[in-house]
Amino acid sequence: MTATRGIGGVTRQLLWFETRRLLRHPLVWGATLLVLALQTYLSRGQQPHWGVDPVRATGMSTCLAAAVLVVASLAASRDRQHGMPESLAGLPGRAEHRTRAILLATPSVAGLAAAVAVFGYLGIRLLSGPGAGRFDLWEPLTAIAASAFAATLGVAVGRWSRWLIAGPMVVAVLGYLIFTNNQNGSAGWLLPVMQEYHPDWADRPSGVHLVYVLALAVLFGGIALLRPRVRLAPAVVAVAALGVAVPSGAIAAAEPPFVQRTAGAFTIDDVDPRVRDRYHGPDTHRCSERRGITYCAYPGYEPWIPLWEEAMRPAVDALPATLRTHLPRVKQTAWTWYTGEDSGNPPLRTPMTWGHPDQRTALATDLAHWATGLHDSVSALSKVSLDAECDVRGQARTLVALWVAGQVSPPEAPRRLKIDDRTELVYGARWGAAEVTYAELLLATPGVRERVHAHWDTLMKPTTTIVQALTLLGVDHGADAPMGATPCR
Amino acid sequence: MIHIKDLSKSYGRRRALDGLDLTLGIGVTGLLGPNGAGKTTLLRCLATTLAPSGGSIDAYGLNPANPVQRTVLRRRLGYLPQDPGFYPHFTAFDLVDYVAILKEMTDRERRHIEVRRVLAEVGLTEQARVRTGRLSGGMRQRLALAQALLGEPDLLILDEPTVGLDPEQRMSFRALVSRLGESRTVVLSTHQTEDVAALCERVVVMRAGRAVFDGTPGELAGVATGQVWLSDEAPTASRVFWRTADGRYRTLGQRPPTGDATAPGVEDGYLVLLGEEVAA
Repeated sequence: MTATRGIGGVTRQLLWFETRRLLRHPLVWGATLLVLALQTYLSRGQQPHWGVDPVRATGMSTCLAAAVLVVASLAASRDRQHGMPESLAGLPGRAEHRTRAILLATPSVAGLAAAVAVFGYLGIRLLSGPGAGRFDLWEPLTAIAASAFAATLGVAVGRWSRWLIAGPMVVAVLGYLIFTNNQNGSAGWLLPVMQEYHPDWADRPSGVHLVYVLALAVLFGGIALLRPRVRLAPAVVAVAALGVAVPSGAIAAAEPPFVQRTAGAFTIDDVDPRVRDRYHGPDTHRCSERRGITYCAYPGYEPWIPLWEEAMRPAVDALPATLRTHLPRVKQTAWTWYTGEDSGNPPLRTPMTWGHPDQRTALATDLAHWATGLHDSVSALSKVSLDAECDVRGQARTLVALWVAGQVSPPEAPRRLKIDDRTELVYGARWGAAEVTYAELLLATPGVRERVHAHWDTLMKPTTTIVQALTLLGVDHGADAPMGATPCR
Repeated sequence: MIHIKDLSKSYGRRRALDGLDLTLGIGVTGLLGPNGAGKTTLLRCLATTLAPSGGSIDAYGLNPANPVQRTVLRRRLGYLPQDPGFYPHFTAFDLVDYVAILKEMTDRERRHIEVRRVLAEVGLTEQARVRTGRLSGGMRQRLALAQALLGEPDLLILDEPTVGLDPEQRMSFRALVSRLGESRTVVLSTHQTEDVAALCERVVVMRAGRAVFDGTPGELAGVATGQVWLSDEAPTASRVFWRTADGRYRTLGQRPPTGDATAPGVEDGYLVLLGEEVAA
């Protein structure tokens, strides 16, 4: 048989051969589907956030990168397994051809799988409702680069190590480093992917981070090509890649992703300077009015205003008409950098993400507390203790507040409300099971709304008890509800 | 033609090849010899997978010691090692295709035709899409032979090729190799003297890294002329004898008291040639 000879031809045919095998590899596509499914599951119910979702998808693609690393290391070490060395030694195609082909095939397929996982996920997110935040294309590209990096690292490990276990061991070490350094501290950005990122953090140095990850990929590709013998071209490539990786990594890691809040009073000076103007400067919000309420969102978050309005509407409708004419504005708040501003004229606050049921509950509860005068009595910021200093048990207005908020979500005992991934909100007011029970009774009783409106002023007096309120509202009650030990103003 | 001159190979202090001289031409040459005689080492040197310690090989005017010429030579040879490797997750087709690429067959369509041809040659067409890990030992041996046949090499080196083959497969193998030997150089090592008798025009018997016999199978059998006997009683003086199917004893060496002379075979010649070593 006449064969078309040539080094490039062998590498090209091996590249196709390896690519076809990788494209059928169950581990690669199993990991891709796993990443896609996990990420979709974890973000269920949440509105898309184009600043955060790509970063989290990239972080989740670590699972895919791990699979790719193992597959690449096995493919690269294949020629030394299963008694093949003697069979291959007598062939004109050399180890360099095989390394080069695997080195081209694995990052390509890994990048394709990562693109499917990340862009597939973002596509699903695109269909799941209006998104907010600013999309950064470098982030999903980093997922692709990180998978390519895992592939070349896997090839280098497979070429340089004699042990099949080396690939999984490298995965374990990298996994440990990533999961123990995934937030805070600039070293986190020396890792190929970020596991944690929040919408009110400073912008990531995503472009330079992408360059860093790509340089790592090339570096390990060069290292892989130095087996079985050191040659000039791959050595130069590896050194050049190192020359790019070190400064880009240094730049990426120069600034921490998040400046930890200081203990004690949090002032404007404690706000990360990189985001100070964004969250505390002039004209930070874009405001618009919908059905008599002013909603103020940070730029890029305007698509969520209809969602906030829709979440509040049942509670707003439960209020007397006189109150509905001068409702406070709803203002988006970056809780990470909240300094207690607007305390004199507190708005209703909505967070930087949207979709969790607790966020709807918090917004409705804020409205109910404002309407019933409980707002002054609560301190609505991330407290760790549920031992509220203000006991509002037994008061009629507590019952009405639970009833108003109950239009949005069922009444319940005080608990921490998860208003975003890092912030839990605890109201500084305490009520008990009796208030919850009577609120449920009110919600189940027809015609209560008109009677609440008719007796609003009486019900709002701190001295009016729940028993009196139930009598006024014409609701049968079997048990008493004791007044709180620490009545609020 | 392949000229081997004063070839030697040492593993530490042990000399596996010791100044071997051999010339190989078109046809099938069988290598016989006890374990450790140097057969596999010789074949590995010929296959360019092992560098000799001394001496030279000249194959078709190419010197395997020269990297460029070695690559050219590799394009012209097919090699079935003693313990061929298999990727258990590759199909039979993929494994041979992979080797074909490494044999620099870069035209995909023609390569696949060639892969199908060699698989058909060894009777594995039906198993082309079966993973090698699921093939029987005999099938895997045939698969290893198939990859050696790729590209119709000028020099075919087969190290114990009939191991694991059933009688029918051995017959097919003999037919295939004898046909290949009509137009190219085939060197095979084996412990099966029947294969040598049936296949090879030429036999080289090796001992301690040297060729102690080089001739036709008939000439090898002739070494035992007058030394092979059939007797009714077990001989007491001979160290090499065995009971045959008809109940008589076949003896090598001195005539037993009741012995009748019989025609020697290749195996008899081989045993007589190696004498004490085999008897031991």
